[in-house]
Amino acid sequence: MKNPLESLHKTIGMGVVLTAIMVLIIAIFYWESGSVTPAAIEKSATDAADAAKDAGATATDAAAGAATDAAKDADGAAGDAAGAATGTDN
Amino acid sequence: MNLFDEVWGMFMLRWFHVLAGVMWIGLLWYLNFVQIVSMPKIPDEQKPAISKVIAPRVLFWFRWAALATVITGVIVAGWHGYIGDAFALGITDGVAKHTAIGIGMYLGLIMAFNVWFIIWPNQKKALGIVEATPDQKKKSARIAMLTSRFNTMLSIPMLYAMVSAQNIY
Repeated sequence: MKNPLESLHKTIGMGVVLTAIMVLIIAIFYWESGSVTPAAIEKSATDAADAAKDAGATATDAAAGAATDAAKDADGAAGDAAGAATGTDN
Repeated sequence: MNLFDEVWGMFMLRWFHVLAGVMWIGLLWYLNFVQIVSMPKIPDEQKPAISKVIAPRVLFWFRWAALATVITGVIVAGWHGYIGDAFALGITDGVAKHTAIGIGMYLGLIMAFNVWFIIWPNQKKALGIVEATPDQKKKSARIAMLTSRFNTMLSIPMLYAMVSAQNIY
């Protein structure tokens, strides 16, 4: 029987079949546990980064709000003080 | 990006790996897709141009490119820290990328072994680089040709494994 590797066409055909078998084996192994692929890990890392960014934005908003409130309070206190001073002058 | 930082170094090394791989597999495919199938069509008096001039030069670059591909590939995998998981075919960490690159690495290592320890010693006899009887020459030429074909067959899943590890998984 002639060795199939003597034919270039059969060699390529066997290479393609081997590739298909390899792809199937990998697909079967990771069908259920696809969540552990680097792409999935990267996605979860991106999601976590987005969540952290959102949390950071919330914190920034809160800090900005508090600062505004404090500034308003300080402004009010300054006004009161100015008023008091004006009253004293009178 | 700094010229000497780690990311740049890894990229340059992978680039060398790809360059060496292209030369290796390019010459393997030249031998199988062009030279072997053309030899029977070349008149006998012109055959020494291939066997004495072109083939020895092809085989020089072929085998050293194979070695360079393996060395740079192992360093790339080691530097990235996945060499152990790849050799374990991803069983240790359950990562599909490591299974794919591991299969590619094993196929590449089998192919490089064939180049250095089967194809090259037999080609030396077949091309008359070392002493051999006509019978030995004929037998060696056949072994080298079939092993080269075997490598061509393996190169298809090997390249799929390597490229898919970078792009799919």
